[in-house]
Amino acid sequence: MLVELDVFSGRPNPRWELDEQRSQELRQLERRLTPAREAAPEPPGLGYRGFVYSDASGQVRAYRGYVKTPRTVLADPSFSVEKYLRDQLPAEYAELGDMIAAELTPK
Amino acid sequence: MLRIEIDMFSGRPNPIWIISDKAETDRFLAAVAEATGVTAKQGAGFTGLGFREVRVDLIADDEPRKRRVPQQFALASTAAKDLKASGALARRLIEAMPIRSEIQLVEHALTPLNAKLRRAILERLAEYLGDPPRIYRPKRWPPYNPLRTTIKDEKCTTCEYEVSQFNPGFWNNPTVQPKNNCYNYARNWRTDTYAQPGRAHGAQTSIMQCNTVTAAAMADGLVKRCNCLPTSEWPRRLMALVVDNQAPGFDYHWYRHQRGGFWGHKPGGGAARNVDNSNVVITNPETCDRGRYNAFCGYFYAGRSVVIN
Repeated sequence: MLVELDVFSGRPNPRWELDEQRSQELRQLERRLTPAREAAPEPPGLGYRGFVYSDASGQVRAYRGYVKTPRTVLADPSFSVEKYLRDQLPAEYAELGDMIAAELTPK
Repeated sequence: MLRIEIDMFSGRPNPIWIISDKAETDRFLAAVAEATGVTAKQGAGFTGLGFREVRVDLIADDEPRKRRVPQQFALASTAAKDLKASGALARRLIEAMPIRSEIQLVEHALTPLNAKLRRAILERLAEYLGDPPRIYRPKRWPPYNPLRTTIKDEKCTTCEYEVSQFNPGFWNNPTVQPKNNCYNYARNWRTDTYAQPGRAHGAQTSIMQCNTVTAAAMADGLVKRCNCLPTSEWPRRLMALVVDNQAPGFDYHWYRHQRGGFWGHKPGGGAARNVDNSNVVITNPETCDRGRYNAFCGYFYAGRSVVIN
């Protein structure tokens, strides 16, 4: 599974592959989520805009405690999907981890 | 047969006559063919008031043509490479101007050929050759484009640049949006390569700080604001560069000044817009909400010669 951290404006966003085992783990996390009762927040223009990946239904964006799929919006109040993907960041982007951690707090 | 016109009047018809004598025509054209740098394109030289040039036209389609002699040309034109030699040939023509032309032209009613006129022409030619006027070249204006306006830079009023109508629809479609970033948008060049400053000229940087990104962009041809670009660089853009300095080396971002006094930008592969992170229309890239992109690096002009990739 190809994952993109949507964060940059000028330089290309970090992208990396999740192996099959981690892809399965991500799907399991997604399956535990329940539909959100409110609309997901819109990402800002500049800065952290979430993680983007594809599942069977199409492109998915996990941003600030919500997982938006082509069919529905799932609530993820513990940021489980974003935290999982943050932990999978390739070593060359490790310095982005702290910046993402600061974003994953309830507002 | 030759038609001779002394281009010197503004209101009344120019002095014009026809040389119908074959021997005279041949002698004159032979003299023109032997000389170098004496002919010029009609109307290519001085076009102001006063003596301008002597126009020569071959008026029959079956005249034997001489090499290096155009079908129509000007003598004593400031566009001629050898104005002195060209002027001498013109003088020779004028001195032979017929006083009562056998061939009557309608122009002769208002500008009759006579000795007084010939003297006047020769005097004006001498003054003209003694102190040739400078060629007036009208300022070249860019072609009209209803989507662009040329404005004076409020920070340096001697400089001008072009602002475009905000047109996010061009960028915000699935085939364009993900392949073009802030640098593409600000330069207004869809490369579909996620353009990087300096990459087109082997000067790309991996350190995303003001000085390094500035150097890379200037390798592409950007110049700092107030280094005025000539009209030949039209259309010229005003761009602003910022960087994320909270974690040095993270990223950079560009804005472009638009028609209407606001600024447009395109965050990464996202949609082009004219609002900041607080959803407020950007009237000043220095003070708008830029999220983490807190370091303002400066303004730049990008002319047509700026190539990005």
